Amino acid sequence: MAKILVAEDERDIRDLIAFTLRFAGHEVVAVGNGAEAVEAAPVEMPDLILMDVRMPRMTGYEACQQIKADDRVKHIPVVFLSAKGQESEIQTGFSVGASEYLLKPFAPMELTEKIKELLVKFGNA
Amino acid sequence: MVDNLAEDGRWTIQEGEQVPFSSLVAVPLVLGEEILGALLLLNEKRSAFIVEQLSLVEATARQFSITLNNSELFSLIRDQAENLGGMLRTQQMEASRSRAILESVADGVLVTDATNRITLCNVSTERILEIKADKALNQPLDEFAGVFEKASRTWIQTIQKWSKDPRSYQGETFAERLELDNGKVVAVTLAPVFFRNEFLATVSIFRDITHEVQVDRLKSEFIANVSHELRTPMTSIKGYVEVMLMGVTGQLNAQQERFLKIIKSNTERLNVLVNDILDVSRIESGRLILDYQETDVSRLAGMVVDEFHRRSQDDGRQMEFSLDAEPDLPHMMADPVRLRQILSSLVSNGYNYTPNGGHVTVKLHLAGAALQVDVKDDGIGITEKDGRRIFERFFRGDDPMVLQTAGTGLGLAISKILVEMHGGQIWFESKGVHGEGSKFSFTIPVAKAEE
Repeated sequence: MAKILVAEDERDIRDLIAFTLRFAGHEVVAVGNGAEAVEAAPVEMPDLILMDVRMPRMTGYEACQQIKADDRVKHIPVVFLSAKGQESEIQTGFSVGASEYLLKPFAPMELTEKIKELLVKFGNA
Repeated sequence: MVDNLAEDGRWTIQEGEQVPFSSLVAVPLVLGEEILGALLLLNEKRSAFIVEQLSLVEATARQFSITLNNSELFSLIRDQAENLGGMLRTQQMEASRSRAILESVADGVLVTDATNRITLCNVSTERILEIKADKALNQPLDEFAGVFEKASRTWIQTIQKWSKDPRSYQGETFAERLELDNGKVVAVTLAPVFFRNEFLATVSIFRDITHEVQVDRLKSEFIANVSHELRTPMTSIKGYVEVMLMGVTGQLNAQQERFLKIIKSNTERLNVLVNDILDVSRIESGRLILDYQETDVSRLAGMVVDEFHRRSQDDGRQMEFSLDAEPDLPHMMADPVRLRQILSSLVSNGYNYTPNGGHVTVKLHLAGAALQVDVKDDGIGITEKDGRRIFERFFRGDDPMVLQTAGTGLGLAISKILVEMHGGQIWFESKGVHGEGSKFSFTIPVAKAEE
């Protein structure tokens, strides 16, 4: 199973994601905003980063950009999980280097499946 | 010549009348062929005039005739001049009144003549386009084009096209939105002026809609924010309920499971509502753009049918779904996400408004250059009264089965817009009889519709 870094400012949702992914057997490191994700990524070296877009201190877009500019961690796939689902927002997500853009609300089972697929796709299964 | 008036039959004296004269000479005043009057010379004495005087009198009469004629001509000319002056004054008043009206309308009015020169530019045009009328007047429009920025290209091109070839005008309305470099958004409508089939001019009306556009953008941002804010708590509710339904937090009894499923389905309902409202907002602001891709409609329809088949099992309802697709249907250019949304909306209506034991059939077949999709059910049908409003936003029928089903009344309204954006049509057939159901059909051109 994989190590996943989760950045989500809403505690209830962060706990839900962490619970769901741990239940599926993954190791989860959870942080509360983009800045913490940028700091945690090179320390934890996760297999995948799952991030919200709208977060205090640093948005997911900015964090993704910084991660993709950091040679140590730029290979790690970043997946957005956001309630912001307009075409332009999704496009921005991909343009800052995201590998996938998932929408809230999500079904835990589907999230588990999707993460499994992405881990296979990026060779970290 | 009359020597004695009292005895000459050509002079009539009324009874009792005292005539103080006895003789006269009368000469007609003639000009050309017209008789203007007569010159009479009278004397108290009889036979006061002699024949030799006659030619003198005639000469005098001619002079009189000419003078008389001149004075008549003069008064005629004077009358005419007064008339003309009056007309001119009225016309000037009319013109300045029209001018005052044109100057006081809040919309900008700009007129170009048949050679594309600007012949009228009112104060509002000056204000809206930030130009000076005295610099614009009599200038060719294309020399002035730079001022209106590149946004106005089609507007100027249309004016040039009409003046070059007036027959190219087919009665269409030209309405465009100009986004000027100064940040203003201006709506322009343009029409040609014809007089007896001759192209005379074009009239452009400008309206500053910057404020409306800002308000509209604020509204869209508000809706986007609200939907984001609604999705955040929905994520928690849906997520935790599903985790509990998965049984990972412990075994559920039947009632707990039923209640959690109720929460789950209502969260779905909220989610659909939020998505529909976002769609309507996107459609209203023109931000909904189709993402055309080669699309296999049979596959999409199959996915939708399977999805509802599963849903009916989850809901414990006895419903049959079937797909009847003509073999070898071509792939078509369409937005697969939106096409699936239309299909889901129609199948969902069939599912929701058909009692247990019913059938929903999706039929795909070619109809000319378009693919036609029929979604038929044997449910409650649509009454004639409801049918008239069925594609209106937020309209819902008042059948008990409609009232007990979660819905926003937006599905068909959105589907209609999405079908029309694809260049297709949507309609329905129903007798409004319970058990006979209804059939919704839509067409989508196989090739991408020209915009």
